[in-house]
Amino acid sequence: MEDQENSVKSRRRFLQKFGSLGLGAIAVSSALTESCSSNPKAPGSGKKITLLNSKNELVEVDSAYISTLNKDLSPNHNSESRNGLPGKKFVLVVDLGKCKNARKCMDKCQAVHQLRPDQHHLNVLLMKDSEHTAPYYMPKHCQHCDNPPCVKVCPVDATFKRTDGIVLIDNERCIGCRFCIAACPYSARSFNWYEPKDAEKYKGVAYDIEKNVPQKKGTVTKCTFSADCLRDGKLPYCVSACPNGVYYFGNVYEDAVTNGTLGETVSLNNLLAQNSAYRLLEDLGTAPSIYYLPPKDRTLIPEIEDTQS
Amino acid sequence: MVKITLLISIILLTCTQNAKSQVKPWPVSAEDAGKINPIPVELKNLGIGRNIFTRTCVACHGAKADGKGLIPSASLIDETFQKQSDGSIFFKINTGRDKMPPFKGMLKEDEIWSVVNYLRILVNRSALPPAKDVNLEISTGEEIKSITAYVHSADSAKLPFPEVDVHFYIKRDFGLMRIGELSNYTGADGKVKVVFPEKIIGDKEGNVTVLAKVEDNFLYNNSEMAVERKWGEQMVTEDEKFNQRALWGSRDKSPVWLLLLANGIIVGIWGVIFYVIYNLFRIKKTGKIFIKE
Repeated sequence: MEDQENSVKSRRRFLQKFGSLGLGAIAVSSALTESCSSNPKAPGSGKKITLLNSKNELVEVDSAYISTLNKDLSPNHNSESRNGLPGKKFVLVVDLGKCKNARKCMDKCQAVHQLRPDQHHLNVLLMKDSEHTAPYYMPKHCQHCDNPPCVKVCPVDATFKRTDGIVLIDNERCIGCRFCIAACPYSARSFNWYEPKDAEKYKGVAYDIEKNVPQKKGTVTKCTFSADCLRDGKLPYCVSACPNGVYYFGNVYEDAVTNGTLGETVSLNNLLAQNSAYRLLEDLGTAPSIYYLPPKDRTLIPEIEDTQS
Repeated sequence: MVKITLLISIILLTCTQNAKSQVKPWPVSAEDAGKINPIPVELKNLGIGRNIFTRTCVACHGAKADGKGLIPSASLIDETFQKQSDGSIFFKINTGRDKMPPFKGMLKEDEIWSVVNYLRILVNRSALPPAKDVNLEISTGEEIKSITAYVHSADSAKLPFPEVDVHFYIKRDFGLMRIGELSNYTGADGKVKVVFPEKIIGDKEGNVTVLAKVEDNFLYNNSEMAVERKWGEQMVTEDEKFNQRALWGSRDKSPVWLLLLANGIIVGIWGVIFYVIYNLFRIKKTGKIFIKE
């Protein structure tokens, strides 16, 4: 009797684990052997479904007794996220003239990617190029280079470049050597020196490689171009959070970029040509995917004294 | 009892004062407040006002102008806002305060006045005639790639509507790209034609989705129609570039010189070691022969 009870208990534990792995149906099927008799009022639908139970036996269960467990399932795109979305090559255009340091993009990014205030996938910097030039604010993301120095130095193949231009990092492969941080000329990556923010809240959440969430202590984290949003056909978090219309995001192959604030879509080539766009540290040959439009016609010229960044 | 009432009244008083102090008063001089709006409330001007509003105000004040945009801000449909004079609203848009930027340099005076008119219409729709339902049909010309929109009444009579502004778009990944002019008014026959621009990239086969819309119109309700045509250039992807052997490639795509070099070093070093071991065996063997002899 005791033995039987023990076995039931261990089976339950086993099932709990499996339930969270998305094999909820199995849990239901084996629980049925007990619950069917104790729940006589539920009528069967007559439709039988064959399921595999925890003892590796095939059993038939009436479909009326099956309920889905609403558990956090691991995102099914993790395996395919190394390939990139077909027919796309993403590009971001930052109009420096419109940035007023509202920092909504940063706030949104840090909230979504479980980042501490000192960790940045995206940072708005106060720039002053030389003594007599006017200062301006510059949002700086990972540049998602087409010739990425960070990917070259990764010894474990944790960080990689996809065909749609996005450079991602797999925190489950990352060993925390920080070679990529040293290699990146844009200082775009940050390291989880401490337990990540809200570590308790994210306990048990399945890892999403396109979001870098949950963050792992001792690994590197970086801007993902909001690859999870792009998979759903939505604009990245920072792009749609900007109240000033700074960001244009789109597909290079399609020659179109959409402003996240105004929702207006324009030709990428025209936008770049008419505004004399440039990329950061062009001469390094990294071929970034982010273009900057010069800080012209600003409504706000920042005072250099109130350095926030 | 008296004490309690006193206490409550004090609390109430401080509360109301707090509530008032949350919204800082924004003084406008009598001269500015008394300015007369020179722009008449006409459809054309309202259209200008609306376009400026959607481009510059919606981000913070929200699409409904209720102050619930990306930055929390004042509600523009609220009674306290609307009871101000046109001149006060003009002054505030013109000069700005805190997070509200001054629009002095960005907009012309007439444009700001048009925005003021549009804000008035937001709460007072009845000042305009009720909007009519319309139906939109598109036909396409093949010889010269062009799209013709035909706007007519929604009932069976199909009366053509002239002077309706139709917007034309091409569907892109993250939004709709405008083609044609900013305003394309229908003629007396209810039709308006737009030429499909060059150098538009479609999908791999060159298919492009073209849309025509009657939208944000004060006199007509929204209506739209889409067609797909093989008018665009074929999309050229550069996936091969990513499948090349490069230093940043994944393990199976490492450059040949790197493979040769790294494996050459490994083979070279192990080769020397094996050669030494082999020679040691040979020495031992020859030693044995000597002992035997």
